[in-house]
Amino acid sequence: MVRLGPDRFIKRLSSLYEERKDDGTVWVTMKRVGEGKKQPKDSGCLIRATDGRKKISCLITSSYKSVDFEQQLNSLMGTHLFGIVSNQQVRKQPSSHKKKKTT
Amino acid sequence: MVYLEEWPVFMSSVQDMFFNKPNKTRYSVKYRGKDGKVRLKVTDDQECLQFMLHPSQDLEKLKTINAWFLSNMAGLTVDRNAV
Repeated sequence: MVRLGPDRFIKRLSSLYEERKDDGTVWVTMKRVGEGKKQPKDSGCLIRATDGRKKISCLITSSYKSVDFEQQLNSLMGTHLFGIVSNQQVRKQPSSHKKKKTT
Repeated sequence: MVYLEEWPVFMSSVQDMFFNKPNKTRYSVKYRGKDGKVRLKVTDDQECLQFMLHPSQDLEKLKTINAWFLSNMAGLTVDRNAV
């Protein structure tokens, strides 16, 4: 299990979805890490993702601004799970106004 | 394992489960690339609640539950109304 920072986790999760878009499954699991017999160094939300082979994880603590992470996660899931592009860029076609000379 | 049909019932049951056992409850999103199905599952190792999302229709539901879990799991206290 690879523990990543929030930004790297989002990137790796995106690549996981890309690799499995035609075949395979991706699981994303959230669990609260708090008090217990084994006291973790940080408490917060542990997010894990796997495609059955690769495993990645990320810990979102209360001190971290989870709003940005939430927006990135929602955008990512919207794109890969529902095929919704959040920011559609309209490509400007190059103007090719070549007037044909007719005789 | 039960698939709930109505979203408000699912969310209410999920919140009850997390409120009762915040350290045992886990939430997972399963995406199957073959057919594009998205399944939400919340369990506390005793009871399991599942909800199937419909493609291209239920992004708002996914956003709602993601926001609720992130704010409650990452936060210091459990708030039923946190969004």
